[in-house]
Amino acid sequence: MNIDCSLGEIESLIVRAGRGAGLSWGQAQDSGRAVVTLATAGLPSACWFAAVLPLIDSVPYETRCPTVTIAPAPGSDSVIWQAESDKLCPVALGCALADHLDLMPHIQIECRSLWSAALSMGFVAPAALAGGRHILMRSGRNELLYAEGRYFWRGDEVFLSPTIATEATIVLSCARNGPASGENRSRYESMPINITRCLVPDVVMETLNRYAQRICVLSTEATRVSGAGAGMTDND
Amino acid sequence: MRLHRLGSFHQSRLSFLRVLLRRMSRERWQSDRTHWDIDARGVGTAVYQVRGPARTYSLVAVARELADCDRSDRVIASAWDASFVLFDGVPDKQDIERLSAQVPMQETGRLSGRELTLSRANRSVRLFNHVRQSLAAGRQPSQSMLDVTGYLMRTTAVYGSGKFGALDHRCLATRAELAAPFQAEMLTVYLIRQFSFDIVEHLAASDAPAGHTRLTDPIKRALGVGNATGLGMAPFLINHPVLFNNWILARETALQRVRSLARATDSEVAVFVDRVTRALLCASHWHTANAGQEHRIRRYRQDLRCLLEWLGVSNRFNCPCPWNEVFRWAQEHLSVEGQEAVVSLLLEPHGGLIDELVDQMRDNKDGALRLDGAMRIARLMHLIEARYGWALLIDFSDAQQNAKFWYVSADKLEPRLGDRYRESGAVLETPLAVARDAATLHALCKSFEANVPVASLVLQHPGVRHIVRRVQALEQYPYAEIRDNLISTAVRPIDMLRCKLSFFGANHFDPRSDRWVRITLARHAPLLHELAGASDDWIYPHTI
Repeated sequence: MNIDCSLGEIESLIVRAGRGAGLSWGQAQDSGRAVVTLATAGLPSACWFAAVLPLIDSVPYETRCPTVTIAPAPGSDSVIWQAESDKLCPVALGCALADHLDLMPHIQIECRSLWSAALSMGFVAPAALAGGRHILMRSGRNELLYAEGRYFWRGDEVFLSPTIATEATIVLSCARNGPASGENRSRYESMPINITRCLVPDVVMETLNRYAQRICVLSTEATRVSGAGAGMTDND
Repeated sequence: MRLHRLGSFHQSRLSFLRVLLRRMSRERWQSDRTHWDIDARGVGTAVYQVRGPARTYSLVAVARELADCDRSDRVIASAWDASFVLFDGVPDKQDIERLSAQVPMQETGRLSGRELTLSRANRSVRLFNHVRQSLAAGRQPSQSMLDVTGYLMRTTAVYGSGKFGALDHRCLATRAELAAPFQAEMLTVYLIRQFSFDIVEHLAASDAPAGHTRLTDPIKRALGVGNATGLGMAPFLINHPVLFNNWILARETALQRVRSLARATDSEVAVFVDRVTRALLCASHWHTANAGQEHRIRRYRQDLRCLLEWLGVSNRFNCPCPWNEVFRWAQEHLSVEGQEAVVSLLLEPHGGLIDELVDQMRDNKDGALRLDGAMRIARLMHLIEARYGWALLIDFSDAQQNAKFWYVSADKLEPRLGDRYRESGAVLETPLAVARDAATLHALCKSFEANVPVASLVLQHPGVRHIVRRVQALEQYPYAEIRDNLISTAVRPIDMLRCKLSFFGANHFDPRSDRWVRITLARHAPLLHELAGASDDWIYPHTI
């Protein structure tokens, strides 16, 4: 069964779940925004995020974050980003991509063994928009393009399905927006914009809530007694 | 701004309830109670519709019978005398049935995109029962009892913007009537006030069908809606720094505009003196059981008397920039409570000059603060030193300065403030210790070369990501940070509560501890049927 959620409550839940799984607060906050950015295009980003939580929970950050190379080797126009553990985390990748975007004009990045690949696009989209860039993600015959505040895609529908959480090698390219990108865009199917609600399967909500619960401090009799309003006559 | 000053703020022309009521008055909104299905025990549903020029909104109220022993203001309560939603449009029978089931469950229920707010309220037992019994006996209630409490019902939460499935505030940005902050919440509270009158009259009529009477309009007008607010509200100001900046900036801009006026007209002076006089009357009816606040109120009354005396000197306003002279005199002679009241009072005669500033009080960036990875470490350190220099002066190795931690309680996911050295859970601390985190970041930056990009820093140290973004993104927002250590033993969360509540338009602050306060909203406001064309001076009544 799907639960009809507001984007605000999903963002808040993603932040708490991400933190509960082991993200830093800053990464968790970016995850909330990334999931919402993708959800406004109708993409099942909350599902993708829930699917990656076990990876975040079980693999230390140092071994799931990308090794970042900015400059390609001589004779090459691309760089390779991969994780030491061979399990590249889309949150760590997304944060790193967004942070390094302005340091890497016109470059291709091959990201190996990436989980929930499309999720990382939500992180880099705001930076791309602010910098007047478009971002193209390719995985086999599937392509997801973000340009001028809108997502476009082509390929197999399964690539954007809620259950796609397998490892993949993707190629990301970023470039300045320009006339060429506009022409190319006709080859893609455009995604909706400004969707204001998202339907989240109840099993996914359960997963998110389970991780979110980890950041909560259980009440004790002592904390109840010292809490706001405790011990006061409030029935007047 | 410092917490102490924020904790002395008063409502003003820019407060959100006044903004809403000005609009409803100006646009001559119409209202009706369109549904009333409540039995003699006070159990059932009611619907109030308000119609503006563009849209209709409806308050759906679900009332129940609650034993006195089950009534609690604490957020962990699970039952209330009445619960409410503000519905977008006109609910049909199915909507009312759905909401009747979901709304009393509050945090455990589900709302839809048709609902804008979720709220609940308890009766003020002493006053509600007294009023009910008085009306049933055919007489009006005791004026002194009305004066001390000031409301029949008090809300214990008003949730908005996307909570529990309700519509996100960002979806309302294009609606002029709800674009300003907290307009849906204020409309909810204002309509709950009407419900509180109707339910007490209904129960009195049920008690004595033949001999009961109704509350007079002047008595109703003198009653507002109470609110009990605890720690849940405190983190809002830290978690919404751009919004907070915009509120303070609008208030400071308004003050600056008034202070810059070269002359004061006779009518402006008359309005100002009149409002000060009426503020003193209100202050004489400001009741609290809190010794510290009572002391402040006594001093505040004295402040207003001194101000009136000072204003009484002839030709007081016959000088360049006379409003600036009033401001400067207040800074020099009055308590902080009095100084902040004068700021609000100075805005009163100048609606035409300042009311439009409310359009700048929302967060148009929708909270999207972005980290700039290309910035160099040297620049980041410069920003910290320039904007957080006050934080760098705090010694966080001193246990007193690091004594508290903010966390989320498993009870209803509410924010709480714990003692780091006496309670467990500090590892789950939420990122509200801005001063400490800025100082930590500054120390960390020293271990990096000056020309290293920030992207490298946060890649290696993801734990500082939130504070890096905050430092960078808030550079352009001079009032975004509360310039105090929010985890020291000296922190008084109630100061944050009062600041936010003053922007709502609250008054009669009645602190119950340093982390819980009761207030009143809409006291002396025009009644629903009086609202069209009503003036905006109700907050300072002529008589009480």
